[in-house]
Amino acid sequence: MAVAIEHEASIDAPAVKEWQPRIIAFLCNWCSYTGADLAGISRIQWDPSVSIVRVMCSGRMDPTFVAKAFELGADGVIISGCHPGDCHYQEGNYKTLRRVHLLKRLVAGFGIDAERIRLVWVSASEGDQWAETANDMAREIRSLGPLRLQT
Amino acid sequence: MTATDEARIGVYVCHCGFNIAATVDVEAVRDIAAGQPGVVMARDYEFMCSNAGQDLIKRDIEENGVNRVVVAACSPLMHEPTFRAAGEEAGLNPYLVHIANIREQCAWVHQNRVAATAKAESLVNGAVARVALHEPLEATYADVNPTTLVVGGGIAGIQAALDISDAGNEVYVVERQSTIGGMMARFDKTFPTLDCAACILTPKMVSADRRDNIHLVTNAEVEAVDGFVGNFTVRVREKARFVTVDCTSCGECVTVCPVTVPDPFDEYMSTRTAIHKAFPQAIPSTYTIDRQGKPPCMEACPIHQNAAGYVSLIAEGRFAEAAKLIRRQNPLPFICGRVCYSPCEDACSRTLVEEPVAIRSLKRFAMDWEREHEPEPVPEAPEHDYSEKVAVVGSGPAGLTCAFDLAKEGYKVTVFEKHDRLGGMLAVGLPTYRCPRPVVDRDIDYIKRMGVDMRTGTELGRDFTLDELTNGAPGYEYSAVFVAVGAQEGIALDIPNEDAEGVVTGIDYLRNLNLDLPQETGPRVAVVGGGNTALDAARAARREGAEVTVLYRRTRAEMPAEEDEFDDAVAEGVRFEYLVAPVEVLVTDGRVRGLECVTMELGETDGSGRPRPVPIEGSNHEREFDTVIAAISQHPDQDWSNTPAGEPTVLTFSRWGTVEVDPDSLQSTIPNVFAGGDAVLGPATVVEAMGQGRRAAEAIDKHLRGLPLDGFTSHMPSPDPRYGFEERPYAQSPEYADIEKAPRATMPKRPVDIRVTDYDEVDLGFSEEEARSEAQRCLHCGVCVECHACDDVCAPKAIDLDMEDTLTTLEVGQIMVATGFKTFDATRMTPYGYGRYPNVVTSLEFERMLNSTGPTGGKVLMANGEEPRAIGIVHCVGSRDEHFNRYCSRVCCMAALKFAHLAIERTDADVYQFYIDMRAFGKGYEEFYSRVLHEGSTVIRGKVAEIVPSLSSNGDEPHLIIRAEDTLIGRFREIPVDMAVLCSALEPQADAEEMGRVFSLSRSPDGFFLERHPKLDPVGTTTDGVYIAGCSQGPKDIPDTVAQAQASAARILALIGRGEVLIDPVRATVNEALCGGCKTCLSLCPYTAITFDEEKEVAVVNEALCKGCGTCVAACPASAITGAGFTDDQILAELTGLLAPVGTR
Amino acid sequence: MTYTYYPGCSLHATGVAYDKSTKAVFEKLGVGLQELEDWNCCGATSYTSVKKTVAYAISARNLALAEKTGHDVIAPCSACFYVLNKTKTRMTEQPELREQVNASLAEAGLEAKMTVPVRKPLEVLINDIGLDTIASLQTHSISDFRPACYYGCQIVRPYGAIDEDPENPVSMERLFEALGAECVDYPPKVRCCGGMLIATFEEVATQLCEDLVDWAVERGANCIVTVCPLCQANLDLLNLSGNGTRTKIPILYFTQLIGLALGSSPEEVGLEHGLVPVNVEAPRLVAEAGTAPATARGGAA
Repeated sequence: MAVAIEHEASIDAPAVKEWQPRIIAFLCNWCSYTGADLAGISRIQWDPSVSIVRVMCSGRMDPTFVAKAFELGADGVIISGCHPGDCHYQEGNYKTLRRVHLLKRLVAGFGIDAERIRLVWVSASEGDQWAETANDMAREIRSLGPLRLQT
Repeated sequence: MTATDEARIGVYVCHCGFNIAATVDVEAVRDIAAGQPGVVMARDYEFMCSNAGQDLIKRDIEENGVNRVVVAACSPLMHEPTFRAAGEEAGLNPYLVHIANIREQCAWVHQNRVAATAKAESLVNGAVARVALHEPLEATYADVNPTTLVVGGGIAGIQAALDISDAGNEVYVVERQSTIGGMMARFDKTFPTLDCAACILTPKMVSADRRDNIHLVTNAEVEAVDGFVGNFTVRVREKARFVTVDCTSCGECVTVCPVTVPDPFDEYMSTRTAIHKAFPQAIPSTYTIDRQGKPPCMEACPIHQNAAGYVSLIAEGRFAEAAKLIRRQNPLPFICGRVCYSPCEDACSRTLVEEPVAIRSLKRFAMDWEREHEPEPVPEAPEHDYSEKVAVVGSGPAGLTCAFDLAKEGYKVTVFEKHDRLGGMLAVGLPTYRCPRPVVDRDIDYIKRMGVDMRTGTELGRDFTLDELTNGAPGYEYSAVFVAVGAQEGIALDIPNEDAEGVVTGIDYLRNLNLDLPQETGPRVAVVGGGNTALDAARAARREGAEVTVLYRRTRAEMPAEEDEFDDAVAEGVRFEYLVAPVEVLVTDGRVRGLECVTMELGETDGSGRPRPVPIEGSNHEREFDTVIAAISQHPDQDWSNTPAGEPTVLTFSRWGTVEVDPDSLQSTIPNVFAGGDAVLGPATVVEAMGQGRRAAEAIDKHLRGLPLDGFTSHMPSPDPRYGFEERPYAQSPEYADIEKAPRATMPKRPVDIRVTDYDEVDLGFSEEEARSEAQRCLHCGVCVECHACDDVCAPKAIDLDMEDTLTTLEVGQIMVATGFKTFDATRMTPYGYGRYPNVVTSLEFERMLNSTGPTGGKVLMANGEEPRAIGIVHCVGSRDEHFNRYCSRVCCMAALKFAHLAIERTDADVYQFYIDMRAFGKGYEEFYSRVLHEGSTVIRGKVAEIVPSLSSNGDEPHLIIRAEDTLIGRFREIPVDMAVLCSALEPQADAEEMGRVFSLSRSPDGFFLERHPKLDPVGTTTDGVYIAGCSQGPKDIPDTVAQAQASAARILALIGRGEVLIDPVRATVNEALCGGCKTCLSLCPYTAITFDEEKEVAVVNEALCKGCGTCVAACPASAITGAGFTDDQILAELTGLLAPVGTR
Repeated sequence: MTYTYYPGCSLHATGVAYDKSTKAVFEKLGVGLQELEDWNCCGATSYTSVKKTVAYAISARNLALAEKTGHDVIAPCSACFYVLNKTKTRMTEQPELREQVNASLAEAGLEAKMTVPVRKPLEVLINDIGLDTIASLQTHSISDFRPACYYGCQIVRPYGAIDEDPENPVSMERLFEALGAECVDYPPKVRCCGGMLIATFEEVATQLCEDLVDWAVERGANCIVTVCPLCQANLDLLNLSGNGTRTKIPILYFTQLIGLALGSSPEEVGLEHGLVPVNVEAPRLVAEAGTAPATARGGAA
């Protein structure tokens, strides 16, 4: 992060001095990504510390992605899919539900707070819910502080 | 090109005017990008999506060897196709172009320029890292099925169907109602032009009906949708309408249908018959019958007598028809009308209001009326003429019913009766004061006239044997035998001296009286038992002049005898003593002088579910009687089954001496011998025995026609679980609480002092008036009462009450959903008093009132039938109201103005409008507004606070006060009106969520279906190949609805024209080398696109079925499956790029 | 069962009949009422518009005291009921406010934890005691009363607590019908009585009250039943105005009517405090209904 702040300082604008979390959000293409776009179209503000990675289905969520994200310096991960029953691929989101459940227990083993992973359902019409999720997660991660992986 | 080539990446950062540039420092982003490995070109431009912008990309590809492209701009859902196309035009594989979404998910949602810029940089870095690993992909194509499904037959659906069929394509229109036309068909005039809705709609409906390539599927629902754009498989349930396409809609049926129910088409302000057509110009014109299961009374009847049917006919004074209908099912109508224990009445829904309809007495009335007013009914000729002969042994209710049914079928039937009088128990066991002899004979004569040969005085086992019958001995050539010998052996009390003179069983006592055999009755009679036979005997003994005491060992509560027979007995002076049982008959020189009795008390409940009576020690006492009638029960004798040689029969019997048969087919151990009635059931009721007779007849027919009897199902279908007693009242039944209580009518009886002196009938029957008013208590709880009146008048024989729902599967390429809206339930707006004050009506009710085919024939009338002197039209009821719906329903303002215009045109009433804002946005709307203003409608700007009955009103027909703040003059106003019209909000259909699932549509927060893009794709949805139009997408007026419909049609035609759909090459592929054959993926794939190659022991993905969700990719433990376009490497690379410290690397 | 009783200023002044009758009813029902020790104004004063925090502090002091008793608070006066609940809500929602207020309370060794429920008698009678119980304890017939049930504005919204439509509450009707009195249909049942406007914009308040009374009279009511001392006062004052031109109608507290049904004497429920005598025959023992009655006249009697 240090670098980031340096950089921010480098462009002449009020630098955000305090630590900023990095949060990766995996959003399914059909509901959540569209929902996030809707938030944009409706100009509903949400925390810039969240960056979105588009996958076709939350079912595509490979646990290694989450692990990798943490390894690369993410402080939190959001996984968002269609509401149960609404999955564009019928049942991908159920698969995710199960995986994330395991994943949380797994990361706990590595001393990573399970709260740093959050699974949510956001539909294409729930722009405001998406913004809320992002903000809430950012708030949570800020309170948890930076993730320090013990090596 | 392959990934091995060195990636030469071009990055293009879009300003999107200010949209991005205002919050993101695009130059900074560009510079950072330029520093990324593999990036050979980084540019920023005001509008990348413009031609000039795209040319930048093309030129770099063609001239500067760029072989990967990242466009940092708006959402890929927006312009990915644009930029991919651009790349392709420049000879680049479109899948080597990737979008970084820095508008919707960055510039537009962040304010801090620093943070936003930093994020944009990360996003671009991610994209750059990702695109470097992109591989060229080849899109595949699938043919588009040109057939289209339109869901919803309103104006939107009709218009779209017409347009699509114009281009020569097949269209299926699935409509939930029995007619197409939707809401528009219920309107009178349309704003602002005021042309009549029907006049402009019906021509379209008709042509939709006429087109060969438009298939209307009405009364139907889409249950499931499968597949994807170009090739959907749709399951449709067409609900039975019980009228076939042969219907010529002559309307004769309506004139004879005795059932009326509230008419939903008229907002329940008028009624319609059970068989109906929604409105005169309905398409298809085929009629429909409303049904909610079978009438419960019919369902409860062992012979499935259509009780509700004849009750409804009687209610209309159509007595002859009623009698005819009764005869249809009932071989013993006169008898049943008198002695049936009427299980139908136990099932009657009217019980939930107060008491069941007096069905039995009504049946008796109908039959007696027929006897007095109609010529002797002539039996219809049998349906067939079969050579087989059937023997029926016993002429009781079971035997007679079996004979009746078989004769009707066309068999030669012979009935053998051991007594000299026909009727079995009916003749020997039934006292004539309950059922006069002529009545019994009348029923039996009718069956005789059907050609049934009745032989009295011939007894099975005495005059002939079962073997003779079954083995076709000379004179006995019968193909099948029905044994219904009844249970006529009285069971003895089993106490000392029972054989003494003056002790007789109840059944013998009655038989002797009925058959005029010698039977003396002493002055003091004891009847032992509490069943119907006991009471029959007791009442008979009274008529013999005796003083009668019934001794019962339990209490009244446990007594099996029927309520009204008990009351009659008491009225006739029969004394009842409970908790007492005889232990010995006291005798002097062989003659009864009394009974030694013991007092009982009730103990544990026994097998019969009743408490077991236990004798109290030392309670023995003597009672004096001259005659003792033991009427505790009967059982069948078995002598008839004796074979001549005397060796035991092959028939088997239960320990109660009843014949053992298959409970469904009643077939005995001898294949062509069937048995039923009391002989099988033990002592039961008349109608139960008849049910057995009917069952046997069906089985025998099947048997003789050589059909198998295993899995035999009788005339008694298993009841529909959706229509049980608890489920009532059903959807279309009135709320029981709202029904005015009307006590059950009872038949007058002859005065006691006279009736105990003779054997004439006690009950006197209903007068026509009594019968009609009693019959009118029927609630028609199943709607159709199966009276078959329509059947009889239907020339083309189009009525089919056995019709069932049909499930069809449609193969279509694209789907348009136009399922419309429902209106806001105005009762939720309590202060407006809808539902409490009769003259507060909804817009839809007012609309129907104005319609010439509506409940008032186009007149504006109050509940009392008078014309209102002032009308208040209230806008925004349930709309623009945060308690209910925040949105504007868009049509109300104009509809309200239309109402005002029509009200002014058709009444002398003053018309007031209460509005929040007047929204006259459409073409010609503002002009219409001023027109109506000039016509003299008063408009008041202000939301109505409440509507209350006026003070001065005297309560009975109060006029109303509308209280509202007039925000233009800043005063609170109270406007007196006679009628208030509430412009109810338009809301999503009640099942919008479910429908959304079926068609995988998203819904906006207001619950309406969500379009793909609010501006640029208002009729598309997130599911390719599924389009939406009309009010299912959001409230809108007819012009907008039609426009959307035509837009959808155009989109659909465009794809049909193209003939093929591009299938995104985002697919899973298995690397056979890595696949361990664990089969994990197989279970995961929702499309069963993955199969297992047993030979190679690897998983195989079927490209055509795979939709590319990647679930299997994520799950594969060996990472043997790759998801093209979303490979692990690409996503991990994107993560690396995203999370790399911005600015440096 | 015991409740902490918060009479508030009105019930010790204009609303003394409400005070008497409420106590009478709860006694008949065998339910304890312990008046809150050292209670003060609920805060429903113009003070709110002068300095909010102080107003809240005044109000919160009562809550702090009540919390110590461990019983639910019953506040018969609608204003008290409303204000105490408002204080609870605000202080729960706004931690800052809560700190400020508790800081000042701390000086008196008090703290408001916002734990004690503040309830209105009508709701307690229906939810805790129950119509059946009340009806079973009825000794006297009140079938000669045809009440117009007037709820006013403050007890139905926003702290309703009875499961009914705030636009059309029916709890009082249910209560009285259970006790055999036939209520008239009374559409303006939740309208405003003018409240304090009687002091500031008299003509406005008077108009509102006249509507309320006219409705009741027109619908054939022989009394208006209220749940609020201010409503009662405003409506009853109207009986003095109009120098004889207006129909007079007794304005009762619902507790007075229940009290009579449960066998309290007219005096015990303070019937004499009303400006218009109750013009119906005295409630007779349900048993001996029909026997010659002693008339129950308030006021002059």
